[in-house]
This record gives sequence, C-alpha cells and structure tokens, in this order.
Amino acid sequence: MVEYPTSLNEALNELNKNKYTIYAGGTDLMVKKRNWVNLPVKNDYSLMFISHLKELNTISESEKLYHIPSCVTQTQMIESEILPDIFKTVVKKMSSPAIRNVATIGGNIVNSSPAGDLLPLLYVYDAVLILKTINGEREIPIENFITGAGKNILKDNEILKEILIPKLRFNNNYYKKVASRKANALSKVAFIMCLNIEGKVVTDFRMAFGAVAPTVIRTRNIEKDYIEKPIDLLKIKSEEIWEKYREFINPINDQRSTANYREKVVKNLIEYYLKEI
Amino acid sequence: MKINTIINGKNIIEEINPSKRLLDYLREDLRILGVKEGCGEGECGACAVLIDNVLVNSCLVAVGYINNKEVVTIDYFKNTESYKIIEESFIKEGAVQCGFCTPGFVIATYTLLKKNKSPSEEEIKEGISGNLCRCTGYNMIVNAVRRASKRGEGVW
Repeated sequence: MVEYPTSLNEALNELNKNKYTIYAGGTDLMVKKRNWVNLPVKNDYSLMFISHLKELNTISESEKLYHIPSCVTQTQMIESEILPDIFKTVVKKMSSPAIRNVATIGGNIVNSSPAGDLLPLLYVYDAVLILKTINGEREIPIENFITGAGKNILKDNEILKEILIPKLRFNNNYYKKVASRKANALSKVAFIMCLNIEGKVVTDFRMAFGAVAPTVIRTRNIEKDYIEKPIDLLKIKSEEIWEKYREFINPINDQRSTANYREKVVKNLIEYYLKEI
Repeated sequence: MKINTIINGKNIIEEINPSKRLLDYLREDLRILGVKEGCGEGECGACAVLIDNVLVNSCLVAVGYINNKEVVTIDYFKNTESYKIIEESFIKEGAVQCGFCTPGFVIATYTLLKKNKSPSEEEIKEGISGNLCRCTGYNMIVNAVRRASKRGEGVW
C-alpha cells in the first residue's frame, strides 16, 4: 500500500492497482467518517494523501484559461493574484480560516454536495475538469461530472487533477449565500448572477443556484432569451424569469431549512438582484 | 504508515495509523492536553493547532497529513514572545472565563496578526470566526485581539 505517494504518477499507478479513499484537505471526509474518540475514521478503504503533491498545488494562467489544480486550498484562492474578484467573494463566505487553510477546490467538487459553495460559481464559469489516470486524461464540463447529490462520474483509478476556468468577461457580478450564520455555515440557498453589459445591451447573462435541487441549477435555455437584449428589459422581467426557473428549482426539507422557504428565497433573490443591476 | 513529523519541537518518526485524527494522537497518545475537543466537526476551533505555521483544526486532520510537516500546539507556543503579548491582552480585557476555548482563540489571534498587523474590527471578527466561545459574548475577545495588535508591533 502506498498511502503517501511522492508524485502524481506514483499515486495514479497505485490507484490503478488498489482501491483507496483519496484524502485532499480532509475537512469533509473527517466529519463524514467520524468515529469514537481515539479510533481511526471509518473509511472504507485506506486513505491516500495527495495534497502535498507539487503537481496539484499552484494556480496558474494561460492565454484563455485559469488553471486551478485540485489541491489548491480555499485560502490560496482568496490570496491569489490571478483569479477574478468574484472567486474571492464566494470563497470568503465559506467556512472559517482554519478550514479554508486546508479545504481544497477539488474536495468541494468531488464531494458533489448540493450545498457545495464553489459549485454555482464553477457552473457559471463553464469550468472544465481534467480527470487523470495512469493511462491518460479526459476533460469533462463540471455539469456533466456531477450527476446527483453526492454523486459523480469519477472512477476509482482516476484523480481530479485540475480545474480549467475560461477567462470570461463579466462586468457585473452578484453573489448571495443564505445561511443561518455568517461563518462556518452550510448554505440554505446560494445564488450567483454574472453579466456583461456593453452600453445598454446585455452581452452575457448567467445565473446559477445552489442547495435547491440535487445538483446546481443553471439553465442556458433561459439565459439565452435575455442575451443581446436591452438591460432595461431584463430588469423588469423578474416575474417571468422566476416562472421559467420554477420547474428546475426542487428544494428539500432538511435540518437547515424547508423547501417552502428555499423556494421563496430564490424568487426574492431573482427579484432583488435584477433590480440591483 | 511511517510518519515523520515535528511536534512541539520534537522530531518524531514512528509507525502511526494514518487514519487517526491528529487531535486524538496529540491528546491520547502524546498526552498534549492544551488542545481541546469541543464539537469534533470543525465548528468550534477549540482544537486549533499550527501546521507549518498555518491555523488548522486538529479534529479535521488525519495523522497521515502531518507527514513531513511541523505541528505546534498551545503547549509549545506558550514559550514565544507572541504568546506572552496575547496572554496579557486576553487577561487585561477579561477575554477568558471558563478557558476551554482559549487555546484555540490564542492560536487564531496569532495567525490573524501574523498576516494583518492592525486588523479592523470586521477583520478581527473574520479572523476568529472559526472559534466559538459560550461565556464572554465575544466583545472582550475582540478587544483583546485589538489590544494585542497594538502591543505586539514587530513581534509577529
């Protein structure tokens, strides 16, 4: 067993032979698999630690993309001089400094929680994931990667290596996380809206919602109806837009909130932020 | 797994189950008792330690993670000049009542001031947002952090 590989290749080679639970930042895993005091966590397979691997640790950029390797921490994202401000706005609302110091972007994606706070942002940005095995790699858009609450298509011998973020031009960004406390809280609803407005015309318009369905809701078919249209038109269409999203918004009752509350909040957020533009 | 680490200044190379929580390893195996277990799920910050000089909750860390890294707890941090300033500030402002959360708050205060020498009130609240105190109501703790930031220039 190789629990502490010294390179990504060694990790992939080992994953091809044996089954492991991959440990990146550990902040979700250690709670999910929590055991009695002084007993090891109840993981199904041996842990493989990957966050120390150099290949997975540094944010970079190319002409058209930001490259965020999977073990970049949330603190690194906040402190990055490369990433757009909206990334920092979203990450700063997550958990607390001690957790952000170890929790990784890859963990948030592979965990695939409906309430994962990076996910609406990554959906809006058309993020593409690089999944790597010892034999090669594939590139999968994030919305094809996550298939349900806590479910995704990552195979046992694969590692999420990197997240590719297109450098999109937005000049109006709105983000709201609705939760019971300012810090260390899981979202009841998360809302993001990114627009590019040239003169009085909307040239790009994207919206996504977290924690109101098994996966993040982003619907390009609704967005396209308002692109290349006057901004003044979009601002008065909140009722119409809510009616279009309604069939996709499918929240649940849980310990954090109720379906009814979540639905109402989504409606209000659409109305509020369209007026704000 | 053979773990190679430095804990409170002491080099340790030994076979440890990598799936064990760092918190348990510190408290149960090494009997380092300044690290407290509050919630055990990352909400309260009572188990906060420094790993390579970065603030981390030890209840959320598996021992394998600290391989080739250095861990410092309040029990060792208390020998530093930074600690003495924070301790004095916490005492002066009445920021300690039962004391259970205090080790976590002290470590969080240190990491905040190391990055930001004179934080605003909002930044102080943000810096200690991962720590819960059920006694003081936080105002005294915020005041203590502010006092430490004034007293501690050049120390962090």
